[in-house]
Amino acid sequence: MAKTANDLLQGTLDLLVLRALRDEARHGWGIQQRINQFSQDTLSVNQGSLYPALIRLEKKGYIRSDWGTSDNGRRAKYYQLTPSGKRQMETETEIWRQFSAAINSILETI
Amino acid sequence: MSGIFSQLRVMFNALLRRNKSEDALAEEMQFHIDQQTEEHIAKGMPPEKARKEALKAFGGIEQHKEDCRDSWGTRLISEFLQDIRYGWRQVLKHKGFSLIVILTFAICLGLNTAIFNVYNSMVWNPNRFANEDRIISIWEEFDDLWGEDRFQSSRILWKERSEQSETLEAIGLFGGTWENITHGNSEKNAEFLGVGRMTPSMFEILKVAPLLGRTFSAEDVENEGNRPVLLGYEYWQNRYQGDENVIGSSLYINNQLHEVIGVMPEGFAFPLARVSNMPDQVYTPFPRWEWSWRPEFRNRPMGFCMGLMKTGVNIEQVEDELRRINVSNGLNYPEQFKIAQEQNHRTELCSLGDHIIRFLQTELQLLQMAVVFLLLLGCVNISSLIISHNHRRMGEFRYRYALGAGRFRLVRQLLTESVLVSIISAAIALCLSWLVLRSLEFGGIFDDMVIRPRVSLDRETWLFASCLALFLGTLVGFISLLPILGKAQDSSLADGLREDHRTASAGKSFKIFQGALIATQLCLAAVLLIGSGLLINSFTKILDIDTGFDSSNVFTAGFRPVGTADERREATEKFLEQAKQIAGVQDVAISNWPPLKLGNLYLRSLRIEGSEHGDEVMCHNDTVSAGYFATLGIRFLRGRTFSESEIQNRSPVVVIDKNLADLHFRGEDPVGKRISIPAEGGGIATEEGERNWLTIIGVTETIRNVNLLESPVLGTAFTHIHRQLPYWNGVMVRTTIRENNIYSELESMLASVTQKTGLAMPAMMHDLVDKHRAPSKALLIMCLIITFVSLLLSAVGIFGNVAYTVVLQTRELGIRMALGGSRLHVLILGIRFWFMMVLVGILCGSALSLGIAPYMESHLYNTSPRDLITYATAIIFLAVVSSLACYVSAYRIIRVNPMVALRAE
Repeated sequence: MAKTANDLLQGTLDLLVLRALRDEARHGWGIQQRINQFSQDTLSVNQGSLYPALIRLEKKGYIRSDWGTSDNGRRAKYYQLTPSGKRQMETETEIWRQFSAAINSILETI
Repeated sequence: MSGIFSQLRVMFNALLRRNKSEDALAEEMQFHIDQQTEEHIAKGMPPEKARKEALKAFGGIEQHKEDCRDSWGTRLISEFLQDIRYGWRQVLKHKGFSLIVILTFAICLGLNTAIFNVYNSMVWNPNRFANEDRIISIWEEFDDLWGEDRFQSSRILWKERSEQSETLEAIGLFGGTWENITHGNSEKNAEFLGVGRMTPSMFEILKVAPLLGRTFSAEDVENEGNRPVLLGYEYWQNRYQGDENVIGSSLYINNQLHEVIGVMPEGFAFPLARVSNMPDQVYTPFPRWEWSWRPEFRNRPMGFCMGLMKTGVNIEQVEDELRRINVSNGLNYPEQFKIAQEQNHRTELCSLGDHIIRFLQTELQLLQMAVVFLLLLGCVNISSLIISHNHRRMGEFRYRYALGAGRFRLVRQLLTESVLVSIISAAIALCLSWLVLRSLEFGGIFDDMVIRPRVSLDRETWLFASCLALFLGTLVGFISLLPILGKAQDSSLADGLREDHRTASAGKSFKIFQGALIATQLCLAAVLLIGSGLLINSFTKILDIDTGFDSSNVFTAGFRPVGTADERREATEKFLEQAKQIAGVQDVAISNWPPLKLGNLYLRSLRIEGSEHGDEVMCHNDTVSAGYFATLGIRFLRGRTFSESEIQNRSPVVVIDKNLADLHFRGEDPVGKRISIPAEGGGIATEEGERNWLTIIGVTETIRNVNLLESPVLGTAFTHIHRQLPYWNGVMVRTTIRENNIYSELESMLASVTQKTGLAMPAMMHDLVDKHRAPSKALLIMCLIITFVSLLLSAVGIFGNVAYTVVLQTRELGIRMALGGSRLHVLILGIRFWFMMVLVGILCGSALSLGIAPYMESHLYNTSPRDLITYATAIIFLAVVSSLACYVSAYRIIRVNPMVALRAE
């Protein structure tokens, strides 16, 4: 089966979620929309698999959740970054940048 | 750190607020799908399609929920809790079955826990003294010196060690004797008490503080004037009614003034004092005893030597050092050192604990072995019970397997069930073991034992019972799973549901497995029954030991005659004469040594006329009145007791026991021969006295005078009291009068003879004998309990297992009957294989018992480990039970209509 950009690299979903929560608290669907938005729909995550990732991140203490009210007045679970989540996001972003730069330079030279 | 908290919070919510977490997850996902649907609708999609698209984009909701549960990380735990709930429902559902399994398990575990408790409190973790792991016992060994091989150490050896040892923190010497105790100047109510003598360093070793007052100091040894004495708790309670002002009061030990300086706490006893029959009711420091420092006493025993090792030192280092000290100091005592070398003198040591329980360990080990076998038998029984139970549940397992429960999941659930059962059993077992030990304790079974087990459900006992239960629960679970695993493995959905109908009989591998189980069961049962049978035999024989004298209806007491030699003799003779006049008194006698009443015996050096043996032959010397043998019913093998004329003429005559005759007059008739025993002193620690020759006039049966279990090593010579009046008159009266009455009768009679002394230490002779039998009695009772349980377990287990396996062949036998097989033929066919397995098991068990016979031999008293009757009884019992089980179950099958048998499930 041919791989497309839709098949997220293992581990990158966590980074995308953290990134999506950088500016404000969002509910699951909001996170999903945000990822779609900044990837211009090239990186649409499998929607359901977002939730195990959220539990994983919450267990690690990178995000925390609270019940709130959505724009249309419904009860929704909002996630936000914790200070340690912020640090983790920066570290992971840096690692990703170095990694992609390395790959890019290889692709350009060979 | 915050990561761990978040993780715990998530897991906690998922586990304990499971429903809430599930609802929240569902709500969150629903919200997501609804938002997506609305977005599609906003883009102009029809609602129905919008919803379908949203669901499609989301993916399988249940699958995602499962992934979320995995992410919570609580799946294993929640499944485990689920298994426990399910297991508990199973226990409640099959009440009878559960009850049998739990009871079997609890009884086996309970007995093991009880023995563990006894062992732990007596052997492994006795906590008798602080630093007990560092306390060592030291003794000397000589080849053939006076016919014994284990000796106490001398005072000189103790001094050399305490001055030169660098591995020992302190080293002490402890001995004891029986002494006359009086209060004030009156000899009335004189008591003959055990007096422990020790070096003050003993308290440094044992680190025991007195209840009142102080212990001894180094100056106390030097102070010849006002000598200190410490009271034992019991004596303080009995004699002083626990008076706290006792410190500073005085008492006389052998007419020497002693000042009470302290009281020892309750339960305190010097180690080795009780196990070696050492008396310890009051304690004094060793007197100066100048003679004990003379060179010839370097090899002579004086007391138990005990040391406290420095931290980090091991016993081998101490052993090496003490041997070096022996040799380097030996040069100062050339003559004694030469004798010691010739006798191959060795200094041996062991931990105090090992020394104390040396007397009991072998029996305890056997009991322990018995309960371990019982436990194994119990496990096999339970395994087979669970197997047959699971067989009935096969349908349930197949459905679950077919519905997608993994094999691992089934295994886990069944293991959880058996572990659950074992934990319930462990709880009951703990109570049971406590009950058994408490009732033995309450029944006074441990009362007379020299060291008593501490009955308590302490941490170690808890830990032991729970770990053992968990281990065995898992083990039994695995064993009972084996046949199921085999079956579930090859069953597809369709086949699995029809499994029972594929073959007429149980599968071959299953049959072999069941056969092996039956054989193991029979093998274990045989070893257990044979072993406990032998033990019961042995303990019964100990209880039936012929003491060589008749202890029934014999009252014993004692008094100390005072005054000049003539006054003492007169008082004694008058007492003997008048006591005979009391109505109900059949015989009366006086001796220095009522058998089994006191601890050690007077040792005398013995010379035999015409023998090349020098003075180094030793014997016990009892000083007795003529009626001694008649009063105690001691049989004469040759000759007679002292005659009236011999007593009148003070003739030099002596009666010896069979032991002395066998040792020194091999094959010859000793009557008429002459021996010489020093009249005064001549014991080990005092000087030689004057000798004169005594003619042997009689030989008696050897009696157990010191230790009930062992026939004395040395012979005994009985001399008449006129030769040397005992220091203490032990009184023995054969009477039909009750203990209290005879005591008051004798006391008032004694008062009429002499005003100066009183009758002390009353006891019935059979009570003294019973005291010596107490440990064996306790062990016999425990052994009987074990045997009873093993009989029950083997009968129930064998019956259950054999009956079950035979029933498994119902359909096969039904077909054979339907095809015209004769009943007898089918019956034989049905039980042939199982009966062979029974025989194999019994044979293996008997062979195994014979294999461990050499180990048993040293633990059995007068019982052969290959005792035919015990073997035969056990084998016949097992064979009868198994045959009955085979026959009854097979007979029930062939009695039914073949067509009914064919339809059997």
